[in-house]
Amino acid sequence: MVFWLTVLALTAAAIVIGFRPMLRGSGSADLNRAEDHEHDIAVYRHQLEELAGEEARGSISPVEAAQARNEISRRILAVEDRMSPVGTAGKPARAPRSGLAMLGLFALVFVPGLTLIIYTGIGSPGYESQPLAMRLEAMRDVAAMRSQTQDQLRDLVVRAEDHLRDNPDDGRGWDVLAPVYFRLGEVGKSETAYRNAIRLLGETPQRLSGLGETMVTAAGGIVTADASALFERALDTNPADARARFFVGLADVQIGQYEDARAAWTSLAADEGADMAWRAVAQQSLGRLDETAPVAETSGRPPVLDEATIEQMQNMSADERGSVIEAMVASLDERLRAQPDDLEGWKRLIRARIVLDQDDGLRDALERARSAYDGRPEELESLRAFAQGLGVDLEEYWP
Amino acid sequence: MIVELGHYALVLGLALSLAQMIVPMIGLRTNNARMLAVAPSLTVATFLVVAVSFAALTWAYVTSDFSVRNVWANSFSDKPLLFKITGVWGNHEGSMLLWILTLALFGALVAFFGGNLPSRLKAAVLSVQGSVTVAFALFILLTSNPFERLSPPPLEGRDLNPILQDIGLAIHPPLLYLGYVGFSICFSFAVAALIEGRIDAAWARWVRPWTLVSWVFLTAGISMGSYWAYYELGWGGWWFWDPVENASFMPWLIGTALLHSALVMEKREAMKVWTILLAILAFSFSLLGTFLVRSGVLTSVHSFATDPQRGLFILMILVFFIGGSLILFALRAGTLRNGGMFHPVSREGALVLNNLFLTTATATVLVGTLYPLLVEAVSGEKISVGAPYFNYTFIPLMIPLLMAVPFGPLLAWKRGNLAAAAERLWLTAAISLVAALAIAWLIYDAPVLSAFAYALAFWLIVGSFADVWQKAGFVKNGWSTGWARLKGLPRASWGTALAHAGLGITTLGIVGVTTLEDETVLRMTPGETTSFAGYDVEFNSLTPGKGPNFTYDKGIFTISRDGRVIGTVEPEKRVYVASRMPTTEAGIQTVGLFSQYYLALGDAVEGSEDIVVRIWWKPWVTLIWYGTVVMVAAGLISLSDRRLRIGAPVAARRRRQEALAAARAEPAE
Repeated sequence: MVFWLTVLALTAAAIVIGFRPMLRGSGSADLNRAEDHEHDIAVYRHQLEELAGEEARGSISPVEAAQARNEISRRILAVEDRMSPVGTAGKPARAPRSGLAMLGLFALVFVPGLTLIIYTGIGSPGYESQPLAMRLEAMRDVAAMRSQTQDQLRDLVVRAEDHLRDNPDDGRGWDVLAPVYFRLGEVGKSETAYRNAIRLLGETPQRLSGLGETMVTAAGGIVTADASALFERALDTNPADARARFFVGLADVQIGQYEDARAAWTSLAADEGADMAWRAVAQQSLGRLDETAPVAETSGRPPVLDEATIEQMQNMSADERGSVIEAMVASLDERLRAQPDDLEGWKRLIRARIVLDQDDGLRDALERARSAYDGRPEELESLRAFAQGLGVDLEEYWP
Repeated sequence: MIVELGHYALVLGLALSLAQMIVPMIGLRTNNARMLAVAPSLTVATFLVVAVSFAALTWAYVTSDFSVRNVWANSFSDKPLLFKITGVWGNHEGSMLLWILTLALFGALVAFFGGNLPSRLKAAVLSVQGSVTVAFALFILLTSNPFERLSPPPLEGRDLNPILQDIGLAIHPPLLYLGYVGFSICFSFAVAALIEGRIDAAWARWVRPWTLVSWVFLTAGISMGSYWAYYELGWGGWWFWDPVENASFMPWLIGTALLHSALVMEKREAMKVWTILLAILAFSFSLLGTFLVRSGVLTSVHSFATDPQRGLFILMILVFFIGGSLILFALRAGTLRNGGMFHPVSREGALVLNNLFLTTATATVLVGTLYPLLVEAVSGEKISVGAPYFNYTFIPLMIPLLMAVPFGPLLAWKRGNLAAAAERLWLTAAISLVAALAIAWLIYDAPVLSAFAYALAFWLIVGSFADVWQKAGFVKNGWSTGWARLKGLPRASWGTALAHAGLGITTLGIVGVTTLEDETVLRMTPGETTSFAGYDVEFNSLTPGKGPNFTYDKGIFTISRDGRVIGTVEPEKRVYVASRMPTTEAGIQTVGLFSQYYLALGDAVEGSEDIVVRIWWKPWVTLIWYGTVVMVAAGLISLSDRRLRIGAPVAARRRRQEALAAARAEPAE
């Protein structure tokens, strides 16, 4: 709204500045013609003055000066000829029209209309600016909020664990606890909880793909055969399950089936009914697929979300956006496990861990990056300098 | 919001420039004063919104807004603020936006300072200028939009080409663009004159200040680019006959010719065809330069992005404007009345000669620039037309031209007397010869041919002031009258003399550095001292270190002569972290006023502390750039001459007031 008001103000100001003189004077151009000739005569008069100066200084001889004066006078006469009614008689005087209507059309319809049509066609109105400082701030806020909710979650988990110790066959309890464990990073416990829930309450696509995800995470980002089977089973029951669809794509990448992966992710990213966070992850992964997959016509460009996704992303709550960011970072982390020779990737991961205030994640990332570049001092130095630049305490984190 | 506002403003700029192109044209056709009257204000409005757009992009760079693809691709959050700002035009899209801003700026300047122009001519000029703006605004919006967004935004940018991370980027492109694009105004004046069918002396006077402004900026821009290449590339060269350099040099040569021919047209109404054609050509060469650099036909530090689609678009712009204006010229050529007649030996004749030499020289540069491209396009074979080609074609053309320069101002209009002019120059010739012989024989034992080159340089410098000396008439009138006359001289005369002298100073620098330059490559160990070109160079140490976004090895060398320390230079070899690109920073010590000792580090020798060092002795090299500074100053002095500043005619205003008064008085009777 503020944007469109500003646009309106800018347009109005530009049109007023641009068209203001149309409100002055008349449309008739006869006087105007006469005036125009005065401009010419002014130049020639000035040339005459100059000539007089040169003559007085003695830079040209009186004879030359006289000739030059003659020439200039002839020019003046020629102009006056054109100015006199006889000179213009050749052209029948047009009835002076005001031209106001046409100017109004330009000012009020053509300029704003054309601008609006083109801009809405190629612009991204409503996509806020994203200065880096502001983004880092927002990410820090999200991280802070997350740690707060995590504290609350931990309280809940402690109580739920007490309850389940007494009633180990409460399937609903395990079912609730499994994703919570996963969010708290306790992958092993989460896996157990999913298994218990499935044992007690039966399989649902949700539980199957959840269990699969914990197994993938436990395996360091590799989609194992067991996990893969779980995702396939989840999709048998619910072909729309976003998580399963994403991991099936990831499995394809890991066995080199880039086209299958691309198809899976493309359909997921385009599926408006699917979970937002997974769509974003799929979109991100697609972009990287373009960069890494050995397919022709790789554009090397980072992913661009479609308009709807952008809009949805802007409408998300901070928490939701936080989990999208989290998911992106997780996917980056996974990719680096598979392809550790990616200096820029490591830097992005290190920065993300710092921004999200994930101390363990940071340690882990630094350690893995260092082992990835073991024996390559140039890259190590670059990483070290990068981490130092971000304020990492090297004594502690880079022994 | 600011980014999108910038995007919107750019589109609004397109719409306004369309109005700026169409409305005054209708006004001219229908003779409608109201429509003519909005031409200047529309031009100002176009400039303002494009400025808003440019400011928005700059803001995105300063705040590292990586949601803008252009910022992501060319910036880095740790980059120093200055390079964040200069990074705006350190890439294809941003530099094209600067191009449009400059186009709009020149339009606005004409709107603002064009009070002395008749309203019809002014409207026509602004309309043509608007059409150029439209073409480039379409180009940028359709093929190279700097406001394209990324979502989600990446966390870090890709950084700017390290060679461009230099103060030079803050100065060189804006100056060059002011020059390049400045010629668009001369082009607009020429096309407007053809449309209006008024190609006369008054027109020539009106177009001159704009030619002068563009020429001044182009001179400064080329000179700055040359010095930048000299200290940044580490090859010790100041001009490489690189196609991109040639692309800026060709409009300069044509612009120089234009400057001179507009003078004749103003004084004598002669050389109309020359002047109009040169005005069209100067901008055509600017466009050609843009095409060569932006289409990907050439690869160099200047071609940021190569994209055939862009090349094709610029080619279309090129064909449209050059072709269109030449067709218009052909249609109007018949209506050109012959101006003042003149004898071959006269001021006019001298300037025709000047034009012939300059355009021929431009043609040789054009051939040398395009020929390798054509060969490559046809046969796929890569050939290079290097300095030897230009030495054998361009330089022989320049020598007679430079020899003729001092004669020009001494010849009278219409019919000059060559013998009399030569007589006035005998003192100049004597001084030059003595100076040259003194240099060649006393200071260095140089070959005779170089003595001739020195004589030529001094001939230019001393000869430039012959006209001023002549006008003052010290010998004839005594000192006091002489001084008074000197003070009374119009600034334009001083401008002429200084500009020619600047040319001479640059020539002297070129001659000096070409004939006396010395170069050596050697291995040095820390602590070692070597003797070169009469100076002792001690290699003190080589230390590694770290800058904000690069690591470096810095060598420290002390230069001394006969035990007296002259200075310390610290050449560096840098590696930029983000791009892993190595660059060199030359160590330069100016010796005396004009000579330089130039050191660049080569590779380290494996398994030792030794490093390869290249040393150049560059006598008088700075004169090359001082000369251009003098030329720029001369242009500015000329520009401040009052004849170029006459405002709107007083008579017209008075007459209008009288008419008004009469109209008011009438009803009372």
